[in-house]
Amino acid sequence: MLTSNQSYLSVINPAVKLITHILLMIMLMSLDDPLTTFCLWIFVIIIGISIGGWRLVYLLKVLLPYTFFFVLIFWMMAAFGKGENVLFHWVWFRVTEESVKNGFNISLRMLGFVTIGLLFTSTTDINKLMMSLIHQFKLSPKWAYGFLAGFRCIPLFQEELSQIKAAHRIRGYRNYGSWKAFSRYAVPLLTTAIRRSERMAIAMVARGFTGTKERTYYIKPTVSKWDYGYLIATLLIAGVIILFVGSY
Amino acid sequence: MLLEQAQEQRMIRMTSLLGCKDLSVRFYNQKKQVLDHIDITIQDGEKVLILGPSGCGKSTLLSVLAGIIPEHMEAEVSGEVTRKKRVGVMFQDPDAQFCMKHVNEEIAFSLENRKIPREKMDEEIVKMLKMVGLSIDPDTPIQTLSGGMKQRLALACLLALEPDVLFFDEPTAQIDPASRKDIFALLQQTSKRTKKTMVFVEHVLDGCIEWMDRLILLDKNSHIIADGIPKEILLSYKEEMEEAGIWRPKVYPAKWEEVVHNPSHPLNGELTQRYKSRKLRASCKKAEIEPIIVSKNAALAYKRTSVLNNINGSILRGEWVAIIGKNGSGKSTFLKALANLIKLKSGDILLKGKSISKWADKDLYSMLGFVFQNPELQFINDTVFEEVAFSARQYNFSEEEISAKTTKLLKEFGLAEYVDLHPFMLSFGQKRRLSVATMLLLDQEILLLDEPTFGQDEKSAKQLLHLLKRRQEEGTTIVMVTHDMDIVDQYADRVILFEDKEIAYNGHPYFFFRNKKGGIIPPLHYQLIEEQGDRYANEQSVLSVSH
Amino acid sequence: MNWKIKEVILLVVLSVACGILYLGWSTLWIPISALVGPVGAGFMFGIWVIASPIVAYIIQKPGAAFIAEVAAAAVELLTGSHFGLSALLVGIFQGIGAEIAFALFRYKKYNPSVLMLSGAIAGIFNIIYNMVANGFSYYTTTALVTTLIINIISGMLLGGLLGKLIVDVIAKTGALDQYAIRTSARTKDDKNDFVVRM
Repeated sequence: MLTSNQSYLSVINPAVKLITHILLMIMLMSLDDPLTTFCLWIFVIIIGISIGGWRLVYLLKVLLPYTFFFVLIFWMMAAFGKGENVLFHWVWFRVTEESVKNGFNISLRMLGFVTIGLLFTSTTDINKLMMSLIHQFKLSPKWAYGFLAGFRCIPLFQEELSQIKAAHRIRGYRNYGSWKAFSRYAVPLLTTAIRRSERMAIAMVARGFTGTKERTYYIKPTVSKWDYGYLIATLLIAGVIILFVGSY
Repeated sequence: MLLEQAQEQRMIRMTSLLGCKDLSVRFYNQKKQVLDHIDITIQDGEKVLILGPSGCGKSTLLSVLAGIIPEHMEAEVSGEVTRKKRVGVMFQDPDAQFCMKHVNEEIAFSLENRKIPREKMDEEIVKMLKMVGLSIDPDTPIQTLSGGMKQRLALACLLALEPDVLFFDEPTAQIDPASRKDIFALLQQTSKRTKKTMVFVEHVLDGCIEWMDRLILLDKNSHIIADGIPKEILLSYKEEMEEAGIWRPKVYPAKWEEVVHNPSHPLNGELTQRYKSRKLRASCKKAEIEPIIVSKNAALAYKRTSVLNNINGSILRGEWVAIIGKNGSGKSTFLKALANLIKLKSGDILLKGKSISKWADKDLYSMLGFVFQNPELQFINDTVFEEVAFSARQYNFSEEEISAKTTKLLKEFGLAEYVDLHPFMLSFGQKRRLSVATMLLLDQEILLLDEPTFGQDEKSAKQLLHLLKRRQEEGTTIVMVTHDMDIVDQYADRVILFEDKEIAYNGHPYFFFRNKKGGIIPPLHYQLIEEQGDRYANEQSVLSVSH
Repeated sequence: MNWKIKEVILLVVLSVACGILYLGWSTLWIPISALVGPVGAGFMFGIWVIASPIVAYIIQKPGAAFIAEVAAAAVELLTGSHFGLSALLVGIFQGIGAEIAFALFRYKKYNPSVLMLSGAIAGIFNIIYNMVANGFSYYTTTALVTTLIINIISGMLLGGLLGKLIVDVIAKTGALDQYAIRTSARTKDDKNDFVVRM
């Protein structure tokens, strides 16, 4: 997660890439025709395989866990949505032509979101991203380095969460979906988090970190014509696809 | 020299580099002052070690001298402090000292803060890595480093700041004993090379006290009871240091060569006695006991990489078993498998004759307790009492029974006065004892512990081991993962060494240490006997040659 | 208002922890909603906005609620949320909603009512996002209104109120003494006879 592979796409300036991908997702959101959504999704896959360093096997492996979820979303839209031409009706499930079309659209859109997001996270290094935000978007170092420090904790928290789960199992604590259960997990995890964050903050300031812009940088991303090229080309092609398939 | 005289002399002498006068500190949420009118002066180039019981304010003192309090941590402070602007502080939690993903970026962070130009950074990074003996690729992700390596990296990051003073707040508390030795050696080397002022707070003295210029001993009210030459203080303040829970150095102030060559040296006698008693214990014949845990060709994997293979063996009822091995050798994974928290890749483990996968959770955990390395992560309830009573509530005991059992257990573990406190408010040692107590309410027959003495001072560690020993005498089987060889030697009936994904040794600790298996450094008395034996053998060969 | 470094780090670290808890809660959502639909599963909603009241209650600065929710949503996204980017976008909307509640009181009040209000408004903004993005407008009006009401109630109870309870428990252990939740109530002594020489 957020470590880049060695592909062409990983060299593109992260800030520019971020904008490109977010705009792509917004374009996706504007569609209500499943076919266009599908084509746009294929386009993203092509980008990934051509310059994103993706291999088909990798893609399958990563996207497979999401399939059940997409089927579920489709079902939710199809069986509970508005519509006129009823295809199928059983107790409180009501499937219509419109809701089926909508179901496909929404679930394909979700698939698209995941894929576009994956294209970003698999080709971007988080450090480079933060530095890019500092230099290209004028984000203050205090926040950028703060985020870097915080995101370092992700694997630590995941480990701690599984330990808490194991301990609950041994102690015989069963409730899962209740608020009491949530706070049993939340309190130890958050307390450890708070203490660790205090130690981290003190360690950083003890090393002379002021959070101000008076500092030098080890990683200093720049923007080149290739970056703009990626942004413009991707959005242009996506626009063309929407126009053509939409009018089909 | 009297304490007051020494201090006065120092005050007169100097342009002090570092110190405080009449310093008092109080944290806003506490009524009591944590530091009460302290006077200290530290000279340029001095190596000072500050000792005292938990809660005596030594870390707070360090923080004030390093400029952390009150600038970055709010507190009520009065008095006068003389300190340097450029300091480096090393803390005990290796993970909380880093904010970057890769080694070079982390060292660069220090350089960035100093506004070093980018062109000079790469060579500085290489220089720092060399200085701390880390011969790794600068691109290495920090998460892949061991605890000891992380502290080395932390030192590199500090040295990159070119500080005037270096502070160390229990830097080895969360490191295993072998790495601890290395870190202290590195720090001693650094001090020789850079001649910087170094201030330490520690509670394990081996490896550290031998090269300290000065020792400052605080009592539990933060008053200085001793300040001077380490050797003298060690000898004159034995009780106070024991009371404070400081791990006494094993050899110092005696010299090891003297001890080995002089059979009438008191330490020599002590160690020889200990050796003999271990030898006796090892040769005691035990009555036939049936095994309670049997492992048959068990294999374990973690995220598709194989961790252990061919694990065969049995643990007898009532045994105290120590599982040892390098970091990453699979000890914790195996322990979790014994508790059915991890599924075996192949093979089987039998508990009381039944395959572990066939045990229902409720039955299994009324018979087996598991104590995690971090006690806080297992606490579920709001008071100490409820925390212990919780296990019984799952089994429909009556209120009186629950209350009686819980109170008895809390008393046994010395937690009776804290019944209404929230578990998070206990001290670390108390939390550890509480986490063990929660696993014994149902008189569990097997107790699995993952590094139970990790990070504790000597007093609490000994207290805990004493409690476990009592339980063992009542029939509980104890299986413990540990790095501490002295505990293995003193308490374990059996030691299992994991190496290269297999069992490299499974037998009595005495023979294990006597034959120095597995490259592990055995406790001192074995080293003594071996070196004396070598000496004897050498003398014999010299004699035979000269004839 | 100037954010101290320790406040920034606390916000990020807490949001990260919340994000990880969110993911676990999301995994529970899947089987439940398959059966009773989004309306029925809506009672789970409040947990996903709990980051805002928790962080705002501790740090008590403008922007805390918004950034916390967005950061938590980002972490949920990065650690593999099935919702993909919409997890982040809905987080942005919910964060705005939560922030509004605190802004209404000029960032000076953090009592239970305000915290519950932030959960409620976050619930409203969740519906707004869903209507804009997901085609919630395809749902029948009754379904929409029911979801809105459930969101508001769940946001108030599982978001605002539960968040406050959790923070209060943690505050008792002393872990929060260095932050606004405790320092704002403190009466600082004027005696400042503290001298530093360098």
